[in-house]
Amino acid sequence: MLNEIAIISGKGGTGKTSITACIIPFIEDLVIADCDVDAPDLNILLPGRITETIDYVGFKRPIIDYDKCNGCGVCYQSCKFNSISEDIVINKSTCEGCKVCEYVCPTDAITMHDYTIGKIFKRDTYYGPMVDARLIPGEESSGKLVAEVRKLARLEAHKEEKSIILIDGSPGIACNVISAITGVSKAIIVTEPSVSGLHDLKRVIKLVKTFSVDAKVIINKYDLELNLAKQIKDYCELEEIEVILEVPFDKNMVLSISDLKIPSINNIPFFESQKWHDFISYLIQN
Amino acid sequence: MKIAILSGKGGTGKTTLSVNLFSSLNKVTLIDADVEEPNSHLFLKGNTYHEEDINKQYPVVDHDLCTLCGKCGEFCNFNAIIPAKKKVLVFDDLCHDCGGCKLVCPTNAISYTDKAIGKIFYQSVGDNKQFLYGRLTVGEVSGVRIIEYLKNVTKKEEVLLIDSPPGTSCSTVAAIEGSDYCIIAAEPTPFGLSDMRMVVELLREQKLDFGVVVNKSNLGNDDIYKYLEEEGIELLENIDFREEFAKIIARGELLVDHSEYVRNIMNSIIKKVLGETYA
Amino acid sequence: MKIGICASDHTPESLVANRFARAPYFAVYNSETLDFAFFNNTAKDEGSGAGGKAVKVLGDLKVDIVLVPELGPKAIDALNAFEIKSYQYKQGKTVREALYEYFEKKLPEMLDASVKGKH
Ligand code: SF4
Ligand code: SF4
Ligand code: SF4
Ligand code: SF4
Repeated sequence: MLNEIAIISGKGGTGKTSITACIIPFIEDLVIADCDVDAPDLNILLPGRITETIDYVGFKRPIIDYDKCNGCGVCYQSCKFNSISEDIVINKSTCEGCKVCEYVCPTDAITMHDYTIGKIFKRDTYYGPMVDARLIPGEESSGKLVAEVRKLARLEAHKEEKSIILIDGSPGIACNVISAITGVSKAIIVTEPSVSGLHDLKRVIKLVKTFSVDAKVIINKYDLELNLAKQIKDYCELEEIEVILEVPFDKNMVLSISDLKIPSINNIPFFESQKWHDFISYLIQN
Repeated sequence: MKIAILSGKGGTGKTTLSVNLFSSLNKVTLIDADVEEPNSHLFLKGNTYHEEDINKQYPVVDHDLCTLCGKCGEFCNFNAIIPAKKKVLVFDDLCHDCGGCKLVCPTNAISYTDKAIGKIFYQSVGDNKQFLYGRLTVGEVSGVRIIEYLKNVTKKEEVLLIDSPPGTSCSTVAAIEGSDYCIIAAEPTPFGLSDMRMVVELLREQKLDFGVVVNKSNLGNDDIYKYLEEEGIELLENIDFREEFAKIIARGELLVDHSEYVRNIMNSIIKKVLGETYA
Repeated sequence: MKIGICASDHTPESLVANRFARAPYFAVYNSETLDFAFFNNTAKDEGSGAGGKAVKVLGDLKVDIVLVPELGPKAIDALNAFEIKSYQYKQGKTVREALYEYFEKKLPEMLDASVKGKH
């Protein structure tokens, strides 16, 4: 059975993508799904060949046929998202595609059309197949796009007979995060010892608890503020969520990434420790 | 003057920059528009003197009038209303409040009712300073309405700082819209550069003026500076990484309260963006 | 009676799907004619609210019972409203095996959300 592992975080900047990258070289039989579509950065450390590019169509958006439009303004009055201006021009960046304007237009001047809002890439990397996506800036990452990336990753896993999918999820608690953890076997939450880290961790734990998924926490850079690391541990204990790993701060992690090298295979002592290997064993067990 | 502070998705010190700039100014209002993960209040510790619910509307079906014709369900693009065997199901958290189902219902069975999707908090910080932040309820689909509300109640402020949602989503667009200047908080790592490029693309598309503050400038490489130069983007300031800074931020304290170095940097940014009189 | 099963492919020998709303196919077994039919799950590509929509697809197919992996709170509400009973299968079985286990009364009925709901 497929073992799908999602790495998520409450807030950005906790090192979620770096941790995901560090895991990759230690797992064989892997398909990588970068579902952090707002910051799809894994490919930077995993150069590889793009084998396929697929247009991603979001929802439909209205197009006005000005030959038919009589300027009555009904669409402008009806759009609850202020996405049609008084002079009847559609503002694409705020339109939610609800099609109310199409419905109310008396002259049938408005029709809804598919709209490409991003691209999905399939790649061949040294560590296995990878699927990631990139949105046109200003577009909303949606649960649907994340589901699409995961679906392609699963097809890839099936085709290449891989047994593990590693998902780099989005930070936060929005619908794209929900899509990244629906149906996974393990969710790993990466946090950092700071008041904002703890604050956001609480929100993400609240979300994860609505799913029946095995969730564990990693405290990254835990030694930067031991006091808060302790508070996070206490909180996790209260919520009965195990802190499976505490990663010390090491400048060399950042420097390694700047050199485009995956830190875990770049002579950083932590990744030779028993703790790290135990963590990997936990990930790969079915 | 409306100044938006934003960053790529990866958490590059956007909030740190916002709250420290706020603390370096005398007469200023800050709004934390990052309503999914509001954090600024953790640093400012102001007094909340007022709270407000932000509502959206969602449909309620009068089952005496409803004939279960199915039209509302066919119309709704978000699967928020689904006519079933004996009743019409409404999933209020999926509803985008577009008003469509009421329009298509042939029997007038649909009306709307309010539901809170989040809150806005008003805080005073010292004498001349105001801080507002919003928070979206966990599980709600969009915070754009809260952001628009925050911006609306502060539209007359003389100096307004907007801590914007990270990344390039439509809530970011809502937060930065109408700004006079945007400050991007970036990091000189390959991830940081890649995330920042997307923000730059967005700001150019929105035709907004902007400059960059490079945070943790001693932890990375030169690629970001090459990029800024090639693209002709203004580099406002660099802020070094120091372990003590990380500790101060982690505890929820302000860098300007602890470091002369950071105070000078904030003043320099203020001079460049707002002009001499404010520094 | 019609029994729906979430399927990963369109044959009785394919594995059951590991997700409900985004299952690729719905198998529908008709206990009068003893036939399987397979339908594309049109809800799987929905941007939002796939759970409720998937139940509507099953409702339109006139399914009385559905065999599922896990269910979200919305899907549970919708199944109740469409008066469709649900039973939970184990992963790794084929569509046919899941159906037999249902007939042998080995599958537990889902009375509550296996996914603990927000409301
Ligand atoms: S589709 Fe909806 S949101 Fe978009 S312009 Fe039309 S009415 Fe407005
Ligand atoms: S409702 Fe139709 S006819 Fe009227 S202004 Fe809009 S597009 Fe033109
Ligand atoms: S108001 Fe719009 S989004 Fe909400 S249920 Fe009605 S049609 Fe759907
Ligand atoms: S459109 Fe009106 S009458 Fe038809 S099902 Fe919906 S609520 Fe009932």
